[in-house]
Parts: sequence; structure tokens; C-alpha cells
Amino acid sequence: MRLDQAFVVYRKEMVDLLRDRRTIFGTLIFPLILFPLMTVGFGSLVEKSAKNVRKEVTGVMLLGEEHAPQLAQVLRNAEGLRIVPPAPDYVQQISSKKLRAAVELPTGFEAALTDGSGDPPQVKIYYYSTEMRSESAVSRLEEILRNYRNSVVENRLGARGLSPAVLKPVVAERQNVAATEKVGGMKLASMIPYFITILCLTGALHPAIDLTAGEKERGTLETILASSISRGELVLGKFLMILTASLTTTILAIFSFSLTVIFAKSYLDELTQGHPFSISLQSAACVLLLALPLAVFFSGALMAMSLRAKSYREAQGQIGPLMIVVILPAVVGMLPGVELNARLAVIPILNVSLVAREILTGNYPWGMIGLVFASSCAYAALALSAAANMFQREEVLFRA
Amino acid sequence: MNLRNIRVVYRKELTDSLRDRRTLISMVVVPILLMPVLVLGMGYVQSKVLSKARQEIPKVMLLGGENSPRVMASLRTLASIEVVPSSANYAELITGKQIRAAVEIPRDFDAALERGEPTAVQIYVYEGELMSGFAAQNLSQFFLLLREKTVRERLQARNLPANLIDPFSIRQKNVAPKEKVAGALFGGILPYMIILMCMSGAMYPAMDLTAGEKERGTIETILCSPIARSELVMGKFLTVLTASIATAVFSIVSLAISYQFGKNFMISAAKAGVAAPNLSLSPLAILAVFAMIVPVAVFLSAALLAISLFAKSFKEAQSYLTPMTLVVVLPAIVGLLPGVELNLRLALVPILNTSLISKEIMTGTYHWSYILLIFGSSCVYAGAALFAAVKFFQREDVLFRA
Repeated sequence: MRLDQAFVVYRKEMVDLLRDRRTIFGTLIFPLILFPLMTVGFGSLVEKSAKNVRKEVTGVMLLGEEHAPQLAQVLRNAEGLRIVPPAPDYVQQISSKKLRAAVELPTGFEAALTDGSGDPPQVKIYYYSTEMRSESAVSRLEEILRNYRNSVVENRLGARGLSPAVLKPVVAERQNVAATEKVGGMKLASMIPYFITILCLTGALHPAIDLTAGEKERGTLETILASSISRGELVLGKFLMILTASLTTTILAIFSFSLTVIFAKSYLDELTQGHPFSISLQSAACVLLLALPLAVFFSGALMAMSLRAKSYREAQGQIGPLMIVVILPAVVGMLPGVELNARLAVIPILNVSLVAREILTGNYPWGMIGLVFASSCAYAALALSAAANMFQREEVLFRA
Repeated sequence: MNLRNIRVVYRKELTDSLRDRRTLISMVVVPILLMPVLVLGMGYVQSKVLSKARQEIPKVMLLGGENSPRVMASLRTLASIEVVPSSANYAELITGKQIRAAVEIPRDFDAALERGEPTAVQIYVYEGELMSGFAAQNLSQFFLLLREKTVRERLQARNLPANLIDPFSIRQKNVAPKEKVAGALFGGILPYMIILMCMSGAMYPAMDLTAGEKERGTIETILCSPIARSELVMGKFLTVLTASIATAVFSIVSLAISYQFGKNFMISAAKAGVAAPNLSLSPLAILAVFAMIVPVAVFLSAALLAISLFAKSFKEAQSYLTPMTLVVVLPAIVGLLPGVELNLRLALVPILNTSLISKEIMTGTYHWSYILLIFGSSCVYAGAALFAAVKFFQREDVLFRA
């Protein structure tokens, strides 16, 4: 095999591709726009809508107010609640969302509180389960009621000469020991490998189809096969082209993502719940290195698959379902609780997702990284050799 | 316009599409098979992973605890944690996920408890990490029980009744009927799914019937036939609409069926420990949502038809329509956000308005004035898109773009 010949093929395909407006759009512009748009646009919307919910004053009905004037006063003074006059059709009003919740105070509530000897009375909160605003009204009401309850308990203890500390013999405090960027990284660290996987795939998709099934459709494949270069050189040239497209897409997307992180910090903070997030150069380099065999694998596999198709559209029809096969392991890699072990380290795609997540949160399990890298290299080589083999077979190239 | 001619075009295109494997795949196979497999498969994996993570007994390190043999002994016998020998680098071990949590018991804990002095124990965790959270939960639970027991003993020692510290109880009671509860749960996602499916169902035929014809060189022949352009457009448009609605109906039906079969592990994935609600949505609400979405499907079908007519080839059409997906999906997603509520301004935004009103309808609220306004405005948008498609078909510079 002569590398310079493969390079000629590569250059020709490159020129071809760069003249194709649509591919340029798919590989360069789309990822550059998509990331900032999604993070910033969506982040600001979430922020705004959360603010709206918080700002809203919720209408709550008080039933049996006369049984507990003291508690009723507390509820009336509470911020964020608007007490509406009682009406018998409160159940209907709640389910039609005119009212967020209703509180029912039982007969003799206040008397039972001052007496304190009988069975504790029960306060009922009526609400609309699963309806967002009704549930938030319930949690606000519960908070107020619990505070009131605590003050009642404190008074009772005080009347008997006890300090409220009697009730709190042990306090268990949680303290986070992970560095803050590791905490912030947890969420994003599971999303980034997913995006990288998808981008590696989408970047390779169109060139892979265009350079094989597309050539068949345009009837130019025969001409190229008749040229004086060997099949191996042809495959290598085409493959390198596809790989370039795949990697360019990925790197540009990562680049635009980092820009988003820098410029849209406040939106991102919403996503990571206020924990700062940073990626060290080392971990970024490591993840990129791991993405390399993945891109080789996708490029080789897509090329082999689309070579079987007779036309661009047929290739697309075959590869469409493949997307699911690729996306599923990448999504599984996003799930919390899935942890890297030796068995998962040899499952293609999933292994890269998992190990990249570890790296992005600052863990470097070198043994696993080596195993993942080696296994994904093996898969990549397998896919590439399959593509080369396909090109040698006339019944695949000239399928009727 | 002649209805008979439109029907001829429609029948021809429909036969054409049904013979195409790709259309069948995107219209029937993907929604019927893929969606349930994806939804249920993910739910299954998630619940499996979660239950496995719960079953794993987390390794926990005990720190300190000098002169406190009692609490240390009861922590060691705790079944929900596995105690490992303590070492100084516990913080590193936790971040490295070798142990899940550490708990620091202060010196003379037992004695302080007996004297009635308040004490504090520290639980060291890796915040945001699932297994570490479980370990901390188990530890907190232990101390909560210890606290309750101690308080009870203290009250008893002073001859005070236990309900002294329990002046009243709070009970929550759901008053909304079952359909409304399910409606609030699925009200956001269902219209979104329907709109998305309408879009993906319309996409392929829209490209095939316009740019595809151009590419195959058959559009000239059809244009030569003795029917009006508008009849041709209507026939093609109806085909796209059929595909769009069929995809949506198929996917919703198959999702509903697969939900009924697999709801248990799906919900345990979304909200651990919550029993799966029945899919007791009111059929009337679903019909109303469908009725609201029909003009949107018309709008999408006509718009996709008009856009892809502009393209010279199938590939070019695809490059125009792919970004369109994002444009359509974003307003539908915005409709899912909790704080976005319907108002007069939003009622005029296409797609978003339908997404929002469907959410209301699913929870059993019928704002008739909004429903009419949104239905009307969607119809106007749909009419405009259809008009544009007809106009495009009459322009030679669009049909035969160089």
C-alpha cells in the first residue's frame, strides 16, 4: 500500500466534501450553533419559569378557621399565601386549579392544643396530586404548620422548665468532602461523553454514506475502481476523510461548548445547582484521546454498512435504526449508579462513556482507562478491516 | 379545483409511499416497535441499576468514637452498612469511590447523650454521587432512630406523656380525581410526543414527493398531466398529512399499550418508591388534544412540503429540514416547563400554544375562549402554510431552480 496514493484519494474527497454545502452545515455549523443555543436558551427559560413559579402567590382556602384563630392568624401572615374565604365546593375548585390547596382545621383544635392530654388533633391538607403548583403549595403549608408545631412544643417544654435541646440529643450533619468541581461535574460529566458519542457518529454519518452509496448512485464508483490505485489505498483514503469529518465535528462542538461554559456561566450554574464546574486540560486531552478509537470505529462501521446499500436513501434507511443501537449504550452511560467494571469496560461505546465520566470528575483509574482504550482500539480495527474487506467483494460493490 | 383529481393524485402517492420500505419503516415500524422498546428498555435498565445500587451494602468508615463503645457497637451491627477500618485519608477514599461515606462520632458521645447535652455527628459524603447518597441516608436513618429513642426515654424519665411533643399531626389528602392526576403527570409530555411524531411522520414523504420527484426527474411528467397545480398540491399534501397523523396515532397507541404493560418498572425509574399510577386518562381529553393538534399537523405537513419543494435533491431537502426539527421541537419543549402559563400573547405562538392548551385539557380544564383562539390561530397558520405550498408549486423558478 502506498500512502501517497491514499493521500491523493483523501485530498480529492476533501475537496469534494468542502464544496458540498450541506455537509459543511452538518459537520461545522450545526454543532457550533446547537450547543450554545441549547445551554443558554434552555437555561434561561428554566430560570425564568422557576422564577415565575416562585413569585406566584398561591390561593389557599382555610376551612374551620374559627376552631384555631391563632394558627389561622399565622397562616394569614405567611408570605406567598393568599387565604380565600371558605366555600363548600373546595374539592372542585382544587381539581379545576382555581384553588391550589385547602387546609382543614378540626373542631376544638385550639382547645386540644392548650389542654394537650387527649389524642393529638389532625390537620388535613387537600391538594391536587402531581399538579406542580398544588404540590408546591402543600410543601409551603407543611413548612408553616411544622414551624407552628415546633413553637407549640417549645412552649410546652418551657412551661415544664425544660429546654428545647432535650428533643435534639443528636444532630447528624452531612458534609461534602468532594472538591466542588467534582460535585458540579457529576451531572455534566455524564452528559458530555453522551454528546461526544453522538457527535462522533453524526459527523461520520453523511460522508460515510456519500463516499460509498452516494458514489454508487452517481455511477462514479466504477470509474474510481478502474483507476490505477489498489483497493486498500482507496479504502484508506476514504476512511481518513470520514474520520476527519467525525473528529472535526466533535472538536468543534467541544470548542463551542467550552465557549458556552465561559460566557454563559450563570445559566450553567442553574444546571449544576450552583457548584462550579471546570475541566482540566489533562482530563480534556484524556477524553479526546479516548474518543479517537470511537471515531475510528464509527467511521469504519458506517462505511462498511453503507457500502452495502445501492443508493443514498437506502443507506440512510439501513443506518437509521443503527442510531438507536449507538444511542442506547451512550444513554445507559448517563444513568446514575452505573459504575465501570471489567465486564462493562469491554462493551463498545458504553465503556468510553463510563470511563470519560470518571475522568471528567477527576478520577483516573489507569487500569480501566488502559483496558477501555485497548478494547475500543480492537473494535475500531475490526470495523476498519470489515470496511476494507467489503471493498474487495464485487458482489457487495455491484449488488443488483 | 376538482375533488376527483385530488383523489387520484392522493391515491397514486399513497400507493407509491406504501410500496416504499423506508416510508413504512418511518411511519409504522419506528413508532410501533422502537418507541416502546426505547422507553421500556430505558426504564428497565434504570430501575435495575437503581435496585442493584440499593442492594449493595455501602462501605462506611467510622472515625473517632473514643470512649463511646455503645454507639460504635450498634453502628457496627447495623445491617445496612459495612464498616471498614478507619484511616486518615477518608476524604480521598470517598472521592475515589472506594468507600461511600464516613461518620465521625465525637469523643465521649455516649456520656454526652446520657447527660442530655446536645451532640453533633458528622457524615462525610460525596455530594451528588448516588451510592454515597444511599450510604448517608442509611446513616442518617440510624441517628434519627437513636434520637427518637433517646427523646422517648427522656420524657419517660420525667414522667411526661409522649404526645407532649406531638401537639397535632398533618395529613395530606389528594382530592383530584384519578384522570386528573394522570393528566397532570402526562399532560405535558403527551402533546409534545404527538407534535414530534407528526413532524417526523411528515418529513420523509414531504421530501420524497417534492425534492425526490425533482431528483428522479418525474416532476415534469406530472406537471404535464391535465390537472391543475392546486389539485396536484392538495393530493400531495393530503398524502403527507395522512403519513403525519398515522405516525402520531400509531406511536401514541403503542406507547399507551406498552405503558400499561411496563408501567411498574418505568415509574420506579422516574420516582423511586412511588406506585405507578394507572393510565386512567379521560378519553375525551385525549380526543380533544388530538383535535387541537390536527391543524398543527396540517401546518407542519404544508410547511415541510413548501420548504422541501425549494430543494433540488433529496439530500438538499434534508439539510433544510433537519434544523427545522429543532425549530419545531423547542417551542414544544418550552410548553413542558412548569412556570410557563397560557396568556393572550403565548396563545398566538404556533406549536407552543397547542402544547400549552393541551396541557390544560389533559388536566381537565377547558378554557373555551383560549381553545377557540388557539384552534383559530392554528388554522390560520395552517392555511397560510398550505397557501404558500400552492403558491410555490405555481412558480417555475422554484420548480426548476437551476
